[in-house]
Amino acid sequence: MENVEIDSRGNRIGLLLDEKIYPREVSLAAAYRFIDRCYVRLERAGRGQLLIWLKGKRKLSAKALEALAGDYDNELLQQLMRQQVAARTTGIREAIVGRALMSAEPWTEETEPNKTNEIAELDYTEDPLGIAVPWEEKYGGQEED
Amino acid sequence: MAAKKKTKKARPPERSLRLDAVIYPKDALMKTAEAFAGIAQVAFQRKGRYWQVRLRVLKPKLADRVADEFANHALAAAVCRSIS
Repeated sequence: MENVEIDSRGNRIGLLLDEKIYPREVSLAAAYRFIDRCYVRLERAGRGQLLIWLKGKRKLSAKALEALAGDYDNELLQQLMRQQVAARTTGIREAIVGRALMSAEPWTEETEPNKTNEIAELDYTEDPLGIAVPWEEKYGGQEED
Repeated sequence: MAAKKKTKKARPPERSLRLDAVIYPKDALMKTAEAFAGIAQVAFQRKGRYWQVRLRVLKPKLADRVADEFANHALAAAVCRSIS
């Protein structure tokens, strides 16, 4: 899958990735997630390979450097999955956003849906259930139990 | 009267970075250089498949750290550029 070089003296690790398995944008996205705790460098290593150096901002033990390599692998997988899901759902995401934007636009005479007769007959000033009648008017001076 | 000794101002320490030109595009470097304007004097030139970046860090104590942070910032700018 990949080659990992642990350089304890330099407080860094080097990972050699195959770009056929992990496309460049995936490696870049994963590297971006590490810039808060590492100094990151990337360079092409020839024959479709990418070399990534992660140098700890603090001094890291050999064990911590190994763990860092593992964390990077996990992040690579996550970014790969994100990319695949994003590619598969492009159409539906565009449709949802398009629909949301369309429905947020104010209605014009042309776009306004036809009112049914029932809706057209409704009047907001009518109060058939007596909801707008004040308590005192409805129940007089009766006290609550 | 004793001649005044001219005190030479020490030049800020210089650090150089070599960044892959395909991964770190020019405008990402330009943005980063702009962001680091108050921290270091930045010069870069293309050398084959790399950018040779020279930094004169204004605070000598921070020279190494500034160079590493410069590379991180350039990477972030490159990623932002690729997704915009």
